[in-house]
Amino acid sequence: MTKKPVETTSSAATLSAARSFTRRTLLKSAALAGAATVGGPYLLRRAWAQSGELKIFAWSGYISDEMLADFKSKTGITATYTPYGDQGEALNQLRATGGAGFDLIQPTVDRVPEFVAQEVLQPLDENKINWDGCIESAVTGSETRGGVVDGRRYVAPSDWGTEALAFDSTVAPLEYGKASYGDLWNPDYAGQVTLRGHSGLVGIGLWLEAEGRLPHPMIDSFKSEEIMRANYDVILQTAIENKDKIGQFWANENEAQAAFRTNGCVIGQTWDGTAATLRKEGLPIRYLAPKEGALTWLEGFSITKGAENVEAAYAWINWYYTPEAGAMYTRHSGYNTTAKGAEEFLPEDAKTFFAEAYPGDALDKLWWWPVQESWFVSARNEYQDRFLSA
Amino acid sequence: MTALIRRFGLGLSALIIALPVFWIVMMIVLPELVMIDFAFRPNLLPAEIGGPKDVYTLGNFQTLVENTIHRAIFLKTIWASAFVTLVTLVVCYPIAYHLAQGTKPERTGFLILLLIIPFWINEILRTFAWFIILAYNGPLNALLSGLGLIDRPIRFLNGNFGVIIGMVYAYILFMVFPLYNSMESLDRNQIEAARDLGASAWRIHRRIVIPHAKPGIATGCIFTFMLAAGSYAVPALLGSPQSRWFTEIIYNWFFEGGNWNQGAAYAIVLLALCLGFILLMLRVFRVNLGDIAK
Repeated sequence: MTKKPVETTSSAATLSAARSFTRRTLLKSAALAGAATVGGPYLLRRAWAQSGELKIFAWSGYISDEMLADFKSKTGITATYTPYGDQGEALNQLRATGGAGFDLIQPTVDRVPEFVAQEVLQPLDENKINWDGCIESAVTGSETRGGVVDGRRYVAPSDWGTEALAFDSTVAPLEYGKASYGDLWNPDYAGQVTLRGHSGLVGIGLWLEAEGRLPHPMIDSFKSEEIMRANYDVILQTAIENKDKIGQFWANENEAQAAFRTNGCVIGQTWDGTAATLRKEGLPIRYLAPKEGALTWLEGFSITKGAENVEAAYAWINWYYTPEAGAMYTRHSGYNTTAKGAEEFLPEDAKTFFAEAYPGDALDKLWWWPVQESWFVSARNEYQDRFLSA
Repeated sequence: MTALIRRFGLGLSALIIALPVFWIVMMIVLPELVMIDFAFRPNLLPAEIGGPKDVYTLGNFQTLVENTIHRAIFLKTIWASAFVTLVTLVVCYPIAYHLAQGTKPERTGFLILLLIIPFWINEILRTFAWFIILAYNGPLNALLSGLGLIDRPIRFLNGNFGVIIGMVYAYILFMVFPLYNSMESLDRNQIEAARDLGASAWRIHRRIVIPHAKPGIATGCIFTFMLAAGSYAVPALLGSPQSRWFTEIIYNWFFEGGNWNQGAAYAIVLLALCLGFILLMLRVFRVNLGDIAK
């Protein structure tokens, strides 16, 4: 019954449109069409921006279709997810476009000052974010660890995770309290070790520091280039001496998983999410914080400088800060959400994984990544290169 | 030029010329100029660009000269690419010869189709397939131990083995087709005459087929060498901790180190030295560019 009147009005509209259709309007619309072809991409992008879209650029393995569908059903916004393997890729792609092309990215908090210096982020409007949905310690913790630059906040924390020892419990069992980053270089595992170049060097640094073989405290490496080089020269030497024990280097989640799944590695320094995923598949891979402390980062959502869907980005952050969404995220990625109340919705195996990974005082000993400024990233890259190339 | 206009008319001729010019300028010349400009400037934050530090410098090139490891990798990339080219040539020569001279024309089409089909799949996927095949717990090791040939899996992805296999496989077509083209025009009577006069197979190839196919061999080798030296996907996927390719270092400067200027300088050095190497090889084998253009 309701359909009829609509039809009549629309046909009436068509009729009146047909009557008013003259040669002049034809020319006018042709001119418009011509203008649209010339400025097409720009106009189209603007048009889409208002129809509820969100372009997310985040770590691979982080965002699931379930999350995108849930976000769409709650907010009506269609979010698309483009994964990156390393945030260096994300930063440099955004540099190339002046911070445009994506609305939301997910840097680790310690690298945010670098993203800000490269002018690819915009400060967040804190009033638009429902901070009650986020664990308080993550909000305050992100402030001092790089999330706030010159008094302005650039990141809304999403999760934290670690990089520690992943091991095949049948071949290379480890025990908390004894396990160390140095265990990677046990001759028993020669040729079956996997690690990532630059963070592998930090692991070696912490091991050497605990053994009293490092000239300066490891943490001071992030403060001045002189100290950094003094420490890293020693680290690099140890790394190169042990290089023949490495079976495969990894640079992204996929490669780290492949090292264990298909490439015969039995121990490695990987992200917790990597080990959690392998464990979910039924492989005997376990994950443990070493006595030197697991390398820990906090990461979050940042809005790009050239974002076209700023409101949708805030909608995503506020949707994320609900227990259900946070739990979906942890279930899928294996990283620990900062959304308040998500624990309730987590499956038992996620809780077991967490308890096994951080027994005893492991959570007090977490080694938080310090802020990494451009000079540090550049110099660490040089050392990584020398390590990989040796 | 006048012949072109007479044949196609002014409008179409202009288009025929304009399209390649547009392509060359927009896709090749301008990006190269930007790269050269980058290569001679220091790496600066956006706020510093245009400031007192933004001057032309040779510093980025100096890094490569001073960094012994990068220099060694650079040289390794050159000789390894030359080796890949040689292996590809050895693998492809018999295939091309069979296609051009050893089989009936009806069958040639079918065989070429067989060669092309795998290349309908993206290069990255094919390379990743090799990663799986050669992996420590992969099907090749499973097959060998299933046959009782090995006791424990072999780490195939060790040293430069995986990279070389991956590249030879990836560039087969770039070698086969130039070889095939140049061999096809060889009159079969010449081969038969040589055979009648008692020449051995080796002598026939050395004195008749290879001299005739020389431009094809040179073209195939140039394609393969340039692709190998500039390949990123194959070393990234099939490389071992011991095999680092120069392109990986360039990629690293851009995407991990965030130092585009340094990366641009490295890329330009790679380009210049590859060109130099090719011109040298052309001279050594006495092939000139005119022959190749044919």
